Amino acid sequence: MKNIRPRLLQRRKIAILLALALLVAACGGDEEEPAATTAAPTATTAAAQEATATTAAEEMDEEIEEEAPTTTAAEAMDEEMEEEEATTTTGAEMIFEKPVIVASLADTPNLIELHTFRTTSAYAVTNAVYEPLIKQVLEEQPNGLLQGSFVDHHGAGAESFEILETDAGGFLATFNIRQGQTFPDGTPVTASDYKYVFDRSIEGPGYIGLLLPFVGIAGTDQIRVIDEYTLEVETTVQSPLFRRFLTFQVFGAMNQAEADANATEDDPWAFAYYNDKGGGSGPYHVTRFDPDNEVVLEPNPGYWNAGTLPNAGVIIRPIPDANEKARLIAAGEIDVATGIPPRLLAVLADDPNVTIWASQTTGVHYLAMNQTIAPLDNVHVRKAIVNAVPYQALIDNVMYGFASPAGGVVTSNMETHDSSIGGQFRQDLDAARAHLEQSGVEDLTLLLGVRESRLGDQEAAVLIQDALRQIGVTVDVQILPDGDFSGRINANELPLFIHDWFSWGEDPFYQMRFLTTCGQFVNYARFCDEAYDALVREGTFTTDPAVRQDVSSQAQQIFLDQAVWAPLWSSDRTAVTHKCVSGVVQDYTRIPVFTQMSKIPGC
Amino acid sequence: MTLLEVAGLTVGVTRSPTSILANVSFSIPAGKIVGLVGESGSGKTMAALTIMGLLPDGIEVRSGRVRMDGRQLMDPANLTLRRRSEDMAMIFQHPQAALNPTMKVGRQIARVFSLQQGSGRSEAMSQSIEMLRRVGIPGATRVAQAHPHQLSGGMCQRVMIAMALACRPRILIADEPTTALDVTIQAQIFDLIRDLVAETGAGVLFITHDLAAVAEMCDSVTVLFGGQVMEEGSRDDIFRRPQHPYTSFLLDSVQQEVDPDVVEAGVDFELVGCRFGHRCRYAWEACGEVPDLFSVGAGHRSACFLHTVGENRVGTS
Amino acid sequence: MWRYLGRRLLVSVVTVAGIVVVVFFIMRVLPGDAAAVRAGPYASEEKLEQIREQFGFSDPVPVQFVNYVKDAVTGDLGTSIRTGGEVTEELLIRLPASLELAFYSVLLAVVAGVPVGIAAAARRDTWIDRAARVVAVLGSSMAFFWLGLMLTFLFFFKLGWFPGPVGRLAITTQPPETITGFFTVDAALAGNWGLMGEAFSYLALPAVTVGFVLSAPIIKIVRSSMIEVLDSEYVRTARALGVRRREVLFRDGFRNALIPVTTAIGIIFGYMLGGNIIVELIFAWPGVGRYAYEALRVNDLEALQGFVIVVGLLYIVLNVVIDFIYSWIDPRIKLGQKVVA
Repeated sequence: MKNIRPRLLQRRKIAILLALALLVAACGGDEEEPAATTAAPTATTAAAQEATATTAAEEMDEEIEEEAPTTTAAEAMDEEMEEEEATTTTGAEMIFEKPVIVASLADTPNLIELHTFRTTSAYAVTNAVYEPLIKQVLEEQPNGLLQGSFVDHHGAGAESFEILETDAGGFLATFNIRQGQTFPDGTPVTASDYKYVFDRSIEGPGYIGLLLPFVGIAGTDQIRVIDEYTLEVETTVQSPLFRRFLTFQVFGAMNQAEADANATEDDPWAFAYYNDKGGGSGPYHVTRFDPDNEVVLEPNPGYWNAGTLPNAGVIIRPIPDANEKARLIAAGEIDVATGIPPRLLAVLADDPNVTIWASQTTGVHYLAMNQTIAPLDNVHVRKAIVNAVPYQALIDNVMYGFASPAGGVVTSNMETHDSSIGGQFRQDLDAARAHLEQSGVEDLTLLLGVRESRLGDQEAAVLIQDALRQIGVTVDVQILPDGDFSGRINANELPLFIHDWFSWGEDPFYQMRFLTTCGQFVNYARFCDEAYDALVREGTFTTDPAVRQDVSSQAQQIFLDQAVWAPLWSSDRTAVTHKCVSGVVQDYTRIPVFTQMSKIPGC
Repeated sequence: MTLLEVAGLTVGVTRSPTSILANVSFSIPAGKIVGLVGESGSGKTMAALTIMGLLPDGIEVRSGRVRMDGRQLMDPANLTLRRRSEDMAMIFQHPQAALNPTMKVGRQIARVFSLQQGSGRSEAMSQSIEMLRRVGIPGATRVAQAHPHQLSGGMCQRVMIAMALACRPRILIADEPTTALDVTIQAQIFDLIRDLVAETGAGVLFITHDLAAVAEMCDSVTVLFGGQVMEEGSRDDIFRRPQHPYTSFLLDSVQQEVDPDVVEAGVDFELVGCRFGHRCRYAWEACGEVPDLFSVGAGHRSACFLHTVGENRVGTS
Repeated sequence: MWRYLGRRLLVSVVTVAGIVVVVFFIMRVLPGDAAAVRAGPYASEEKLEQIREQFGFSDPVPVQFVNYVKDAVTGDLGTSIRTGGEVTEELLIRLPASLELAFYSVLLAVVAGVPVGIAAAARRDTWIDRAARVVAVLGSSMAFFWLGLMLTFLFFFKLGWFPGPVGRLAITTQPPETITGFFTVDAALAGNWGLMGEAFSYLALPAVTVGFVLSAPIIKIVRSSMIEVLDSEYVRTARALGVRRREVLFRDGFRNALIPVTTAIGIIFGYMLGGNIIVELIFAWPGVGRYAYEALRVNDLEALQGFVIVVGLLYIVLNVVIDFIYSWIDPRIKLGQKVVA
């Protein structure tokens, strides 16, 4: 894993020179989305220029070494830059070095295998490394945030695409794969590489296979390579999630030749090989992966849109202590930080050196009541608890305002949320006491489990404990290590616990299906209602907005009546950047994206 | 001629009324061995440490004079003692413990030579080996390379004596030098000391509770109890004509003739007056004062009020 | 001497075997399901079973044990369920970071603590002694995380004298060629003095944090050991023979006082062998402590077992080294032989 020690500095020089060369070449060219026609020459010139850049850099290195063998690398680079300026003959006046973005994310990247569940920061890495067929169009918001559109998509790995309805009631999507894009090792990306990743999702040991039936893909025969650069995907249903799924990194092209070369009998899809390597054609490739410690992403010269990348790469360095992370970003030592707790965000809000990006999401933090554990099978007990929870206090005092009310499993920011129903999740201690009395249960003591890694949950638990005490229910809070917590909720050993969920694609029926329909593994509350399930099923495969709203409202009503959860809050996705950093992106998955990030020059 | 003269030495615990030594006086002539006798707690080691200037923290000199060759060693203003090593050297009771366990013995002796005479390293080493021979250690060269734990008690004591002699002292203080050794070795050490006295003309202060050793070695004896001088005189005086009740008691205990009337009660430092008072069968009201040293013969003095009543009440042996 | 080493080796093997057995069975008692964490939110019972199967957790425990031992003997400590990497490799990569920090922390503790302890013993009950005791009490009662955070706040954030807590080197700095794994040493070996200086500047705050706390037991033990020595008979002899106070302190006192001090140094170094988790977290130090912490949170059994075994082995080596140091300091101790009367 660590046998190769890449000469980072050497590669930086190459990347910078290459970027400069491309800038110079692109000067005066089309500034908008590159069309297919320019892709091929860009790629070949890129390759050629990389070759010349390499030798040019080497030559310069030798020159520099001969001149002043004791200069440091930084000084050598400065000399290089000066020489560049002196010898440039094109009209480009301003030559500036593209910045390297230093990021510190919410947790440590543990592994970067594409179809294995991993930590958020590991997802950020694969997001940068794999290129899906299509992506959301980015729309700039007034505050500078680049928000992915829920409606408009543009071709990414595919240069163009067409989605038609089939007579069988599904979709037939045809993608024209962009020519000229390559994996970092130079292998061209073809339609087979996309088919490979879909097949791997369906048949491999990863978890992604669970998601595809949602959009009506069940077998590898539904993904078809028509010719080298044409791919067909056929679905059996028309799901509104289809387009969204296609933007996910988990369906980004994978280097089939490389994967096959590293597959073994026990591991035919090369899962072990990719634990610590990236295998995609995305904007970056991983040049150094030291799990828990550092990930270095450098621009992939074969990326179809390499010319527009505004940075020279990303270094992800986890900082375990949130206080230190906050200090470092205030001091400008790191450029982007996520995973800073709301308490510290509130403090940083006053700091003029940083910008806080907080946007609402459709995720949900919830207090679950396991209905297989008495007396939580009694709906009045559950309603008592649901009415006792101090919802607003949680948002104000635990989340410091960086959250919105949840209002159900279909959260308040999610499409089809019905606020007349959702608004009924509020604290009413009298109603709570009334329900408790009606249940006939006395002297209730319950265990509330929270995860050791979630400080917010722990603080919320204390407030909930206090609120329940006021209606005569005793709560014992237990902080559990994550592994223990997971084991116990799977085994139905925790009556109350706080958990959270975020649906990639942010679709209400997807969210309801996984969290609250009968028999689902992650339906930890063990709620089961036939009518509810039927409504969710109907909504999943309808594109008619009126039907979806109606069905969703009915389901939300059942959810409220059955007091399935106390939906605590819907966290904002937050990121903190140094004030000079621009280009923060928010897409369906809310995972950090680096492809637009840069630093304002002279800031 | 008198080499060392100690007069009126009073030593106590700092900031406490307790006296460890009260008005102790003795003198050491050249070429003579003076015995300082007493049971444990009598203050004999403390007396030696005082005149060596080695009092531990928390113990202070309250009064006294110490003169060597007529020269004041004790500064009368602040009562601290400045001793030059060629004036006095001391050897201690547990020879193995008194030597540095991690340093070779030859080196330890050589160090004294370097200090005293400024000898260089190798010169000091050969001087040290020579001294080892002089104190009667066979195979001196090999022994010099040994560590204390590799040598017997007797050998260690000889090494100590060698170290002390390297100082070329006018006075050698030997604090229970043979108490930890067996009898045959004891005899050898005594011979050695006598030879050295004859050779160098040094004076020896021989501190012990062993009366047999005193009888063999010492020319004159001072008897201490509870920090007070009880009796002083020549060897003959003390052994043949003891005048003080305590001295008789000591002699009797050696002969195993213990008087049942005398209570065994150690030393009571709180006692005002004669410290032997609470154990003395002759004790009476006068003993609440500290008695002077009364002359009871030529060069023979005893500190007991019995002598004021003109009777020689104490038996002879 | 070689026979002694041989015997120690044999005893060590038995010790290690004992460690392996105890650790293995204790880990299996820990609550928590690593498979559940690895499977993530889209889990199912079959998926969990599949993962357990893959990592060998569905075999009966004795079978697991035999397989584990067979692999461990060849140096294969299993696969981390958290990262998918080889535990042995992951530990070996992180070990130098922890050892380097341990080394400099202990060095600081000794360099600062020993003179203070000696001064306190030599000047008993003076202000020096009292000040030393205050420092020792402060060090014993200070929490690592508080001290670490305070130091970074003062020296990095406010004064800017030292770099921020991002790890062993600046984020964009290329580490030196690995020879020993110690950045300070490897940079020096490569002649890259700037890099060596940088490594030291990043080591400074964490090493001071740990060093200050560790200096407390050193001060106390040096002080009491020196006092014992200074009150000893052989020191009295040396003083009696005219050796000056200062020379007595260093020639006679010091070497003898070293023996309990060596024990203390061995203990604190041993304590640091497993990596100081808190300091590693605060300073983003890529050591084994952090690795063990992450493993513990998700019940990564193989990683935890591997960690305990490796640290146990290091501890055994440390003890052998300490014993050799003893025999070098104290001539009374002859390893493996009886003392000659």
